[in-house]
Amino acid sequence: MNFIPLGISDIAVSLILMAAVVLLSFCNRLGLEKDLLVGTIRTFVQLLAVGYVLRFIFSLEHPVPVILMLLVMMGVAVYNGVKRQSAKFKGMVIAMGFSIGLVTTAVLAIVVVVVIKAKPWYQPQVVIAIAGMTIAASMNAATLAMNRFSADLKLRKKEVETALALGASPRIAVQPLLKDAAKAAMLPSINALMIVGVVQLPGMMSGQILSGADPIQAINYQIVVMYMIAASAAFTSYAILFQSYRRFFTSREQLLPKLFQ
Amino acid sequence: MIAMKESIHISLNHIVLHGKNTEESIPILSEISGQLYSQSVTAIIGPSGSGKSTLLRIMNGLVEPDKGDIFLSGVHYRDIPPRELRRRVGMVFQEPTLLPGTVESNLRYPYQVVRQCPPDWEESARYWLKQVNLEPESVWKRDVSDFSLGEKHRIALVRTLLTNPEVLLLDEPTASLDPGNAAFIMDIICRWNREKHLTVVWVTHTLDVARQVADYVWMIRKGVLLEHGVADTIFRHPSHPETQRFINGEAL
Repeated sequence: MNFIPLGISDIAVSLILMAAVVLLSFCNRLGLEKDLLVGTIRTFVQLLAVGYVLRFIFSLEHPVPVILMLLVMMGVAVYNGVKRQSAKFKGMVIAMGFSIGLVTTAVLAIVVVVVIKAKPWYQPQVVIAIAGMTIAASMNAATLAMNRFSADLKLRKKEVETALALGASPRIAVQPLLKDAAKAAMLPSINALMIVGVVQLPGMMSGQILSGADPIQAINYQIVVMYMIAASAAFTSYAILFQSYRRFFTSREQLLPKLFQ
Repeated sequence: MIAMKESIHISLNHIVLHGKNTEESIPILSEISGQLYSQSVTAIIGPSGSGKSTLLRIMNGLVEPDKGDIFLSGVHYRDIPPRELRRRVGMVFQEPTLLPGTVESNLRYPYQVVRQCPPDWEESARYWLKQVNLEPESVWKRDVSDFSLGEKHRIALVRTLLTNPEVLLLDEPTASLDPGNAAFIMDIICRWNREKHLTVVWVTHTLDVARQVADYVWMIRKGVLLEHGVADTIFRHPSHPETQRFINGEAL
């Protein structure tokens, strides 16, 4: 099969799909027309920008632009992760940055260097593509874990206070909540492991096949990526939970009153 | 049982707690000062929402006052490690929050949280269970969800006592109980106060506890300690008109 390149005119034709959606929203008075329009334009502009940036980075064939790109991606992930939290504590940005950064770097290093054995190690096609998926999985897990934990702290305040009143440390008092938050963060990636290929054909695989790769190679990469995502999610959720839980308590080991406002 | 006036167990000096917004004109607690005497039973009475439960939480270190000092046997709270404080000043909450599991696992919990399980812990646990009329042999391995609310209250009570507290704070423990169970709890707390020399602080918005068992009474309304003193005196000759109205059963 040959790879079929697309031109601007081809994309323009695909706008018919978005026009149809806008029409649907208008006719049914959904009120989404503005968001759809903005979304359509943003998709086009953002991806175009990323595309040219990537092309540029690939042409440079140097590790520094690749690393810079990774840092930008991690930065956006941390920003998004923090923004999605309802309960913000002091030092959350550092905690998120540290968790996402550390886990992503570790997982990336293992996959790119040990599994794929990319040469040179900073080969952008490999590193940036893999990093994108790892960072996204990491960010989602961190968000899920923190959202669940802070929600549970409000809902299960009585459990935590009962434990504290019996002389428990904050760590022991929130132990069941930490476990539940970690499990909640890990569940999506575990579910994905169960259904991949059967219920859902992943985007990456489809992309590779579209560009002419041998399906067996495509699935080989997909398998590695699935395991990598599960590992990223698991370790990021633990990293963020363990750095954060203490910050919901005062120095006298009391639940922060601000939480419950 | 009234102990000698000299032995003050907990002392509060000008305790103030502001609400969420410090610019709020009415603080949750304003300038609460008073003493709790060793081996006495003090009832803290007042209408709902007056800040009584919050005051209890300050007494066992779960909440930090914005201003004021509080001492346990003469030692300032800030000089006592929070976990030690909470074991010495035990708290029984309005709802008995038990862990899912058996009675055994729930009673082992107070030891697990401090990672110190002495070999005779089971003996202590069984002793206290008998004290609250729960036959250890038949309840030990049962799941806590099997029990009635009154029984759960008793299990929670035993759990708190296993930390060997000097002071027992009770936040309306009989509020959701039928009269039979409520009377039982009242009776047993009094017995422990007399026999085990426990200092007891009982928050209630009903008066039967205060009338029947308290040595001292504190009357709190809207975060202010209107008056406090010997129970008998407060009931017969309250100095504050609102106390009189509250005792008469009028809404405040």
